[in-house]
Amino acid sequence: MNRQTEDRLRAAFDAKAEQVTDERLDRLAAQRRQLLTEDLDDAEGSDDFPAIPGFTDFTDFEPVGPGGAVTRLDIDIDHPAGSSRHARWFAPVLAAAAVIAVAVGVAAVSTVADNGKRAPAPPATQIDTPAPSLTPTPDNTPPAPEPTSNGSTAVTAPYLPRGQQGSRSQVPWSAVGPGWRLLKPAGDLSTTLYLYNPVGGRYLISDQLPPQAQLLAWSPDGERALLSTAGRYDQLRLRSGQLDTGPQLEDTSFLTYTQPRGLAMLFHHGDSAGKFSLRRYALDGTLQLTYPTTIKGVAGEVAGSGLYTADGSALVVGINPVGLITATAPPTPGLVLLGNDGHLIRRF
Amino acid sequence: MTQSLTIDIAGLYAAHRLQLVRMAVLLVDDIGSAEDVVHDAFTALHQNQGRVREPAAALGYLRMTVMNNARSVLRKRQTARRHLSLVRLQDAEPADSELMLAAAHQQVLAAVRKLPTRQREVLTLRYWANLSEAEIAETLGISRGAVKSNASRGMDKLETMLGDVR
Repeated sequence: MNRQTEDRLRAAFDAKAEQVTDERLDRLAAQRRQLLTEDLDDAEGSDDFPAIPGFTDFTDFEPVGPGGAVTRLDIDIDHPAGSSRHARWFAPVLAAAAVIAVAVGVAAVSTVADNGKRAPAPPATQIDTPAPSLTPTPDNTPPAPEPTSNGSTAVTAPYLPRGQQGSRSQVPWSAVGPGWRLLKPAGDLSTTLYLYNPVGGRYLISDQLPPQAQLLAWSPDGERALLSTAGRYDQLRLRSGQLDTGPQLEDTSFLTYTQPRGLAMLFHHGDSAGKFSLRRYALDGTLQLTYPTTIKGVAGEVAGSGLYTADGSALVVGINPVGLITATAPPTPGLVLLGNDGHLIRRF
Repeated sequence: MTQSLTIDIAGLYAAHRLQLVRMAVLLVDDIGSAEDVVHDAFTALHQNQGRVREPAAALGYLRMTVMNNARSVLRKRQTARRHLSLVRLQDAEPADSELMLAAAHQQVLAAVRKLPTRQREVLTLRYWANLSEAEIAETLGISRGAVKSNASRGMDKLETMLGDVR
């Protein structure tokens, strides 16, 4: 056999296999737990996000999920601290035989205790209210963790109590995950970014953001916040507070980070001629791909929106029935699934 | 006198789960399916402990089950492709993973994906898991001669696809 081919094969296998890490497996497990928790919440109709001190009016609230689209809420939230979602976060979810559940639970607890890794999928938020005045609140300990099937209890992260503020160095990064939020007070003069834990305590991540910066997203790997200032897309490294100056991209609006780690970004681009397209850029601004505007065999044009599958292997985009509207039968917009090279996978 | 054979499943899980998922991902490509494949293998070990000759054979049982489960995943994908109206489908890597693998590695892995399942399995066990011919034969439930021929044919095809000079 050809030695060169053998060496290339070994190297390729090693590179591919090394992408699988305990951290990545833990993130996958956490994502699946979150999906299950969201299903339960939908069924129960609960909305248990605790009140953020000084932010009781969320009229201009714009929650932005990590790598997700911007949505608006017009609600007034005032919930007691604590979260059933938080309690379920610690509950073992894997459907398996009792011994396997214990085995996985033992491994999971050990992983949390030793590596402190969790998969973050929390939202980033910019709110249009003044910075809150912090007042001491009664003791606000996190809910007690649920015991596992063998009677032992899961590890509980130490949470800063509601109404108190800590520094970035105090963030229990291994515990950051579902229920945590990034918030930046809106307004041109605000240069601060906070990280709130599920019980309402907060940590100052940075007070040196660029003036007029807009908080856009939280990367899927939980490590970076995306900020936009007059068409420039910078990234703030949350653990260090370091701001990485990003590319200047004209005529673009950010849609989402790529999955699963957010190593690239998807934008909606519109030129002066009124033509629109979806474009994927690397973090340094290198254009990786311009998605086709029209797709062979699909009536209409690709719309200015896109959502990655959780594993990042494909992109769901809308199809606008441009030019197909008639007086009697307005067409229905559709969805298609595109691969990362822009090819059509399927129509819905 | 009967012996009490206790398989430390939790210990096996802690010690070997990562490597087994890595092996599975080389076959099924995406980490989610690979994790499911390995999880099902541990579940099967728990359910069939009585069939394992001795605790030391448990890892071999797990490896064999992972391979069988991975093969099943690939078969289901092929069935799905035949029945869905698809213009084109490939086992796509996440956008981030593509960025993290060098182009040379991507080329090799793309070529490996085109091999028949059995050849791909043999090459994975030989060149990544570093198993002997006998171990590969036992894991896949084939003869040593079949291991040799699948390895040889697989490498010949790879050389042709990659354009490597002998």
